[in-house]
Amino acid sequence: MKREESSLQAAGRDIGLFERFLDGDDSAFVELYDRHNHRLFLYCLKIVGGEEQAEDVIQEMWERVIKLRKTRPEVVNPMGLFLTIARNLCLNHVKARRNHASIDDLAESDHPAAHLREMSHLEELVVLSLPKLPFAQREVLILNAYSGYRFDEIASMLGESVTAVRMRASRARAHLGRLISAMLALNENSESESSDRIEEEL
Amino acid sequence: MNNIDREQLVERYLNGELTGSQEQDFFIKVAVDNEMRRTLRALMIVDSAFRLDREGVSTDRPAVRARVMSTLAASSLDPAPTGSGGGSPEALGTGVVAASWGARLWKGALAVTASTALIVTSYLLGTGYFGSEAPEGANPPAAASTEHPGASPRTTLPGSSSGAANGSPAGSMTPQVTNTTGGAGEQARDLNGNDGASRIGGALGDRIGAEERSNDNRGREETTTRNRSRRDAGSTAAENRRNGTGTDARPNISARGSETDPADAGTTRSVERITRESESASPRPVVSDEDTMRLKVRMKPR
Repeated sequence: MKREESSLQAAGRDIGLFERFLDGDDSAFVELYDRHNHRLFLYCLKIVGGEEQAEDVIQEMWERVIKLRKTRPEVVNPMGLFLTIARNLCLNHVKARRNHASIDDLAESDHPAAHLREMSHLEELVVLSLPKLPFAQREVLILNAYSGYRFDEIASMLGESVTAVRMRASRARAHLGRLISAMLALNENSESESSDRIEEEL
Repeated sequence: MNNIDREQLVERYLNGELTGSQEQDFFIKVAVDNEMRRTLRALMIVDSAFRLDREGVSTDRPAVRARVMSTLAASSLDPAPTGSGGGSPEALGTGVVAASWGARLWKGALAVTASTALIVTSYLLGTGYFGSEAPEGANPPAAASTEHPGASPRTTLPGSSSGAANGSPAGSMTPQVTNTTGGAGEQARDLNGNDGASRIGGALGDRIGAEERSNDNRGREETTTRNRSRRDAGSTAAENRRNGTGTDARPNISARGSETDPADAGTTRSVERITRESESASPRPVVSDEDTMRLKVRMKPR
């Protein structure tokens, strides 16, 4: 209950800030930026796959939000609006990159391996397998595991039920889990086979 | 227990959704079931991978923040209402934005109209369209002159009012008075907007100036021819005297066909002939009567 209340309070605060921003209060925009930029950047980063590209996307997203001041739309869900804009920009970027570039064209800093030096090989395998998931599952998992949104917040942003969001995240996590579990089983079998061989030899 | 049930139970445990007793049962199953144990370990590796990957990324992007804030500041400079809690009506905000754009367009249109009017006026003045309607204080017509860029310093126009501003029909746009003393006898031309080399006229003025210069050159050539004829006449007369022909000086026809006569009367006749020739020349559309008058004035003997 407390977590739901805090979620409602946060949503209400965002609505108030957004209205003040539309009325011309720049400090309201700065507060919205500080509250949401961190998590939205992580989302963009995991969707587009590179830091520079994520920077471009997130910057464009905020600039589009600023332009809304001229049109003054009626927004009841600012977080959902931010995510929608960011998602559309990310998808456009991914489509464009798919048509034109290969992984060899990426800068060295954008290669996935650059961030995974301190991980075990299985953890590294998880991160590298994440982009292989279906987009709907990957998106929810990223919003929950990386951006830290709760399922009720994600449901509010996506305009879906909490159950559906939770189910999608569960399937995504389970898919990765099975991959790791199989690797573990393989390791265990190889270890047991090698130990059996050693015993036989002895 | 199948794989899906195991995964859901492990996930509930990892999400903290199990009660105390449920956790106890879960621990027992993990201890007994290898598959349960492997599933739990796999999902824990997935969560730790996400955590390490998230912590390895810096989300402080000062460059992005600076750019976004500058965009925000730029949008705030538009005449949309700003300030904390500003409660200006939507219609006013929209109307102010629309008015600012309208003002900019109006200013641009005025600037374009003013520049177009200026160019047209200078062209018309250059062609002498307003020749008969020269305003008061206009500079009297003077001999044509040629502008040599970067040559002699400015000179005031003899007989002209100070500055060309008085005679400038354009008012504020005063043509630059740039004259040269190209030679003895050449007087500065009236620059009441008629100077072909006026900077105001631009390309049109250059064209007019070129035609004026060709008229000047033609006048010089005729002057040179006259002088040559005089010399020829003089030398012929001297020859006759030496030869003792004793003949009266008869007019000799020079190569140019001018009648030369050492006497003043002959000189006047030659001048008149040259003038007639110049007048009978094919009319140039840009040479006005005023210019022809100047030519006549210049050719009168002193």
